[in-house]
Amino acid sequence: MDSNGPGNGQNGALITLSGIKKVFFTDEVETHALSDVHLDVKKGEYVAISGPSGCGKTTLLSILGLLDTPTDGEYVLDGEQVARLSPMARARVRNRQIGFIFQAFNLIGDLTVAENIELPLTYREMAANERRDRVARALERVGMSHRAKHFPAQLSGGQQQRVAVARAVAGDPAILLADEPTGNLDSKNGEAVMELLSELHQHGATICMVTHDSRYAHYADREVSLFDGRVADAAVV
Amino acid sequence: MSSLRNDVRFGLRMFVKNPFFTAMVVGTLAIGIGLNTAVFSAIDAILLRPLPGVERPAEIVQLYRSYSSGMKFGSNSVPHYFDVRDRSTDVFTGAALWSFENLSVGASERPQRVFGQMVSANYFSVLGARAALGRTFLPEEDTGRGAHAVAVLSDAGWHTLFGGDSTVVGRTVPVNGRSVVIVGVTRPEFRGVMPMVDPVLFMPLMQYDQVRPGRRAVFERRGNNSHSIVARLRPGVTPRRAQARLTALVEQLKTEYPDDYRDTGINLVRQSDAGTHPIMRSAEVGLSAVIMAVVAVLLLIACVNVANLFLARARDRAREMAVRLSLGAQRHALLRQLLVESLIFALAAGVVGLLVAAWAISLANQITLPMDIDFRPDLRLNPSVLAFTLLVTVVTALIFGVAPAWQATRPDLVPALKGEAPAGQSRSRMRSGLVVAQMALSIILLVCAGLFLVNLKSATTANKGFISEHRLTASLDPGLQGYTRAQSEEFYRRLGERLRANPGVEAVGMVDQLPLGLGENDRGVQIPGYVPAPNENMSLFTGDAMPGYFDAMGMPIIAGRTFTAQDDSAAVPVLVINQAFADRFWRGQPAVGKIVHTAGKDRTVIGVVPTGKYFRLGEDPSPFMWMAVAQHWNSGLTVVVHVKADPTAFIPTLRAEVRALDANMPLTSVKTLDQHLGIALLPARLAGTVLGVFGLIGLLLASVGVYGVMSYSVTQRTREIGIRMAIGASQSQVVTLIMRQGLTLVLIGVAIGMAGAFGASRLLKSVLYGGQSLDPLTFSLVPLLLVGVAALATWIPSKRAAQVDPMHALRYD
Repeated sequence: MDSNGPGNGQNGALITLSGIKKVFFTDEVETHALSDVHLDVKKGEYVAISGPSGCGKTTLLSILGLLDTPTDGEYVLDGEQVARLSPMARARVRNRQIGFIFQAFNLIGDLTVAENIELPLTYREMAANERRDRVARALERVGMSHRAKHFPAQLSGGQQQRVAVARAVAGDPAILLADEPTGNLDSKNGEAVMELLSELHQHGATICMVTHDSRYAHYADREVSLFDGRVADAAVV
Repeated sequence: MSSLRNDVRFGLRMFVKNPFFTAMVVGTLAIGIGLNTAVFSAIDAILLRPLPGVERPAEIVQLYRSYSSGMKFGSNSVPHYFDVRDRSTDVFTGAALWSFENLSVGASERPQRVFGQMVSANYFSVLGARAALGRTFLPEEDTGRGAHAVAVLSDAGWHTLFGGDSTVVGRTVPVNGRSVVIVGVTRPEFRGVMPMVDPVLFMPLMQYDQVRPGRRAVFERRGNNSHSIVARLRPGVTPRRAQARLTALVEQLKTEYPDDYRDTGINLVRQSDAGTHPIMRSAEVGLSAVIMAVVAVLLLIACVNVANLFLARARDRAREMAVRLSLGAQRHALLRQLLVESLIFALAAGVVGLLVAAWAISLANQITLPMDIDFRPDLRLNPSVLAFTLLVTVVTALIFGVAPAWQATRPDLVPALKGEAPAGQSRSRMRSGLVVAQMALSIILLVCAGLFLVNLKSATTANKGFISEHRLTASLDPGLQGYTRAQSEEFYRRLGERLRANPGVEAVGMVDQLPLGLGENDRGVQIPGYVPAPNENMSLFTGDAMPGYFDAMGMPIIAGRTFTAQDDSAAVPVLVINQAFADRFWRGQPAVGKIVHTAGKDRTVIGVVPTGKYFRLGEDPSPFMWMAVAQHWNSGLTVVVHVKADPTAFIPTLRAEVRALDANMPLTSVKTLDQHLGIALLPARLAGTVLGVFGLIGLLLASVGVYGVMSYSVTQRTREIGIRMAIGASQSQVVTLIMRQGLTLVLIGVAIGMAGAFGASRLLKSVLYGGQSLDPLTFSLVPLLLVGVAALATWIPSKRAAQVDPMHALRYD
């Protein structure tokens, strides 16, 4: 579980954060974005991280996704200490263990749908045949096979986010990190994407989602609330 | 491999995505790559390309006479050649003799004066050049003086004289008034051992007496050095070993002919090192290096411009890079992807650059020399030039691609993934650095261009010792038409009289060779009572002039008199010398009346003229002496006519007067003396024009570059500007703010550039006329010009920024 004390998930936890701090240094100001955060996420768990704007949700997700490094503390992902890896090793872990779903979809406009999904597999130097198979399976999973050769600009927002989900799951990552996945969608498309994530979770995916929308937090097994960079509350949904 | 394929595919997509961006990048780089290619093709033609149409050119060497005075590349005499040919067979498979010769060929109704070569009969076999039609010379045509009235046409001669007539072999044509049978035509690629100058006709050396009946003793006199020797090394023989053999041969010759070989040697130079002529090699290399460096700077400026464009695009693609990195891309994979993109742009620019180069090369190939030789620069886009273009293209891709790629692959991941504008401090620093670099490079380029333009002005206005305005010149040679000496002298006398009788003619004179025409004659002198220092060069410039020449050239007489009709072959041999001659041997004493022993006789100095320029505009003051033509016969002379009006208007009269004396007399090199000076001014004109054009292109690129950077910078600061204006900043305050920041960078660049230009000018000193490498006007005008242009390039976007609607700007993201 989670608390500001040591986590209880040392055994069987996919993710263990211990005493994570993040301080941003500017010219004369230190901003403490995260202070002494402890968090365990079990394999197959669906965790929602919520909190008001500026509470550190995105910073926490960035550290979980190895897009940023903590100023202090330990981070164990699938049994591996990853808090202080080299940039090259972090990239390798991101590529193999983590799937990202962004609020703004972040598809590359000059690549087709299939090429976008294939991209992380390419960086893994996977054989072309296997890449093709995985892309086809991922597209099928999100119901976008018919749009494989389209470019992102030719898709609706909901469709783009489904492609982003397909890209995130194509490499069979250990965990999916979703940063406000419905933030750029209308409610109908937002619901659809949340249903898709639930479906993935039901098939065994571990998901960590940042959201400020209470409507969607209930999709998760557990909600972790942040306030002023600290875990304020944790509840089973 | 698959990743690379993906990179190429994506790169091609990016190439066609934004046609305007692509056109800007490709166009800018193509100018730089194209001009570099064109300049390299000239260097290839002048310095690097092996002799065309010659077998195994690496085995070919040139042999020169060397003198202890320091002269290392002297010509050879025919007897000397015979000794070299016959006594160095252990190191050479063969040695051949050649020299340029003016010939009068009667291929059509009227004879034409052409540029030919007298060659030993083994010339073609030594070079391994075969005939395209008929044959070349036979071994037996190297013996028996006057017994082989045959000629071989060059491919150029075959076309210009006979229109490529396939039945030309076997035809008999008059050459210098004597019948000669055309026995063959050389292959098109063969152009002798000086490929820039196409000989029209080759005649065997054994016909020398028939071709030049006036020049006696060519086969006997060892001091008659007017020929070149080319030889082929035996397989396995190194130039060093051959040189040792020639040194030993000279020692033998010294014992056999002590007077002719005292303080002399033989200097072997590989053909690849000799080029046009070793004496011009250092100037060719120096000028080539300067022009190559200038176009390299031009390309760098183009690269800086394009790097700026790519840097701006990198900012726009920060999110894409962040996504790729978040998906696990390693940085080196992204660097590779971006460099592949850069390479695709560069390759496209290389292809367009080849079109630019082809255009520049076609212009360069149209350059002609203001003299009667078939000068063909023959610049080409051959495989070695194309390889250079490819190399430059790849290097260019790295230069403009690496820095933006380095920046692009270091996005601040989290903000970039959210599409937030990065703080961009380092990008801003890099862009500022590029503006500084651009200004510095432009200053260096423009200062170099300015120095060469000043150089051209200095060369044009230099005191040459004569007046070039209002002078018409033309060459003729009655000897080539079969005239005897007496007939020739009478012809010249009557021509002079007829010309002087025309209204508006001030003076008429004749000389064997006009000054500053590339050719020079020197002759050994002995001065009674003067003991030369060890190794002192006693071989001095000389010419043959007729009465009236000094008047016609506007050369004032300082002491004594000039030649008169009384200075004939029966009179006391006389000389006119220049001031440098007098100063060298009789400083502080009157030179008139002194004796000089030269050309086999004691000659009395009768007059002194001011020192001028004779061979090169940049030469040091050199002693010069003129003998009277009547006392040192030369049938080929150049007429100088001083007229009051436009000299070109006198051309029909000159032609009519010559025709009136002999309708078949070829009159060549009809031009004004100003036009003749084009030969001497050619290097300065070429350098001034080329560098001037390059300087303008550099200025244009730099202006566009500064404008681009400032414009982009202003766009990025739209929100900041909006805030400033919202809180009360006036338009002029905004303009001042932006301009101050832009001009600060410009001034830093100018300061660095001035230091670089100062260094570059010191390197240029050796190739500038008069060594004027620190011209104050250039060093003050260039920075002013550039700062002015940069100020304009900064002002335009500043002005635009100040017109921004604050409400719009505050919404800007």
